Amino acid sequence: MNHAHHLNCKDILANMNDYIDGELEQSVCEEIEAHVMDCPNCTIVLSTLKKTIHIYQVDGQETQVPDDVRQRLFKNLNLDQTGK
Amino acid sequence: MSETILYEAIDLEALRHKDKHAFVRLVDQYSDRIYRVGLKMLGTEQDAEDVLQETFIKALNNIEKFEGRSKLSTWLYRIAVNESLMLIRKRKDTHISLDTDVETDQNDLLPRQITDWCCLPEKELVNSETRQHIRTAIDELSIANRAVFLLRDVEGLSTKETAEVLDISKSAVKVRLMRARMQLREDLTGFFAPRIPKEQL
Repeated sequence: MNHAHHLNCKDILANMNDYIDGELEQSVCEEIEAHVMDCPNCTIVLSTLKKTIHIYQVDGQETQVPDDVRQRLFKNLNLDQTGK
Repeated sequence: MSETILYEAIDLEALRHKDKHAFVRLVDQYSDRIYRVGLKMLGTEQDAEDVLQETFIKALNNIEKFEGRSKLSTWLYRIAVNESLMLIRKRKDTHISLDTDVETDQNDLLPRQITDWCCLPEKELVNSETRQHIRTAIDELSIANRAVFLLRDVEGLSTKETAEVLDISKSAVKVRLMRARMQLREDLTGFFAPRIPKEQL
C-alpha cells in the first residue's frame, strides 16, 4: 500500500467510517482524499464500503409491514384503521 | 429530515390522553420501522410480528412515562430493541449485553479481500439472489454489531441517537458500526468477486 502521504493505510482505515459519514474536519478529509487518490487498495476498500452501505440501505428500507400483520396489529391494539 | 416532520405530526398530549386517532397515527408512522427492527434482529417474520405487537402494546400502556426529552422514535426504537433482545435471550437462554467487547483492535478491521466489484450493474447488485445473501450476512453479525448497524445504516439514526437507544457510549457505536460495515463488505466482496467479468479484473 502507498505511504507517500502523511496518513498511512491504517490511518485511512481508522478514519474511513467518519469520512463516509461526513464527520471529519475538512483538512483531514483532504489528507484522506490525497492518500486515496494514490493508493489503489484504499480506493477499492472505500468504494466497496460505500457501495455495501448503499446496497443494505436499498434492501432494508424497502421492507414494510405486510397487510395481514398490520390488520392483526390494529385488532390486538383495539384500534380501527380509520382511527375510530 | 422526515424524522422531524413525522415526530412533530404526532400530538403527544393526545397520546397521553389515550386518544385513538393519535394512536393510529403513531402506529401508521412507526410500524414499518419497528417491524424492520424485529425482522433484522431476529430474522423471521413471526418474530418481527411479535416485536411489533409488543412494542406498541408497551408504548400505548406506558406513554405517560415518555417525558419528551428524547425523540418519540428513539423511545420506540428502544422498546423494540429491548423486546428483540428479550426474545433472543429466551431462545438462547443466555444473557446478551450490548456494551461488551468494544476494545478497538485495528487488526480486526483490516480488509482481507481487495477486489473492486463496484463495476457490476445496479440490477445485479440488488437482485433477489443478492438480497437473500444480504439477509444471511446480516444474521451472521454479532447481535451487538447488528443492532448498531441496523439503527445507523438502515434506519438512519445518528451516532448520538443510536447510543441513546442502545444505552451505550458514542465511541462504542462507532467501533461496532465499523466492525459491522467491514464484515459486510468482506462478505459482499466474497459474493460478488466471482461475478466480475474476467476482462474487468
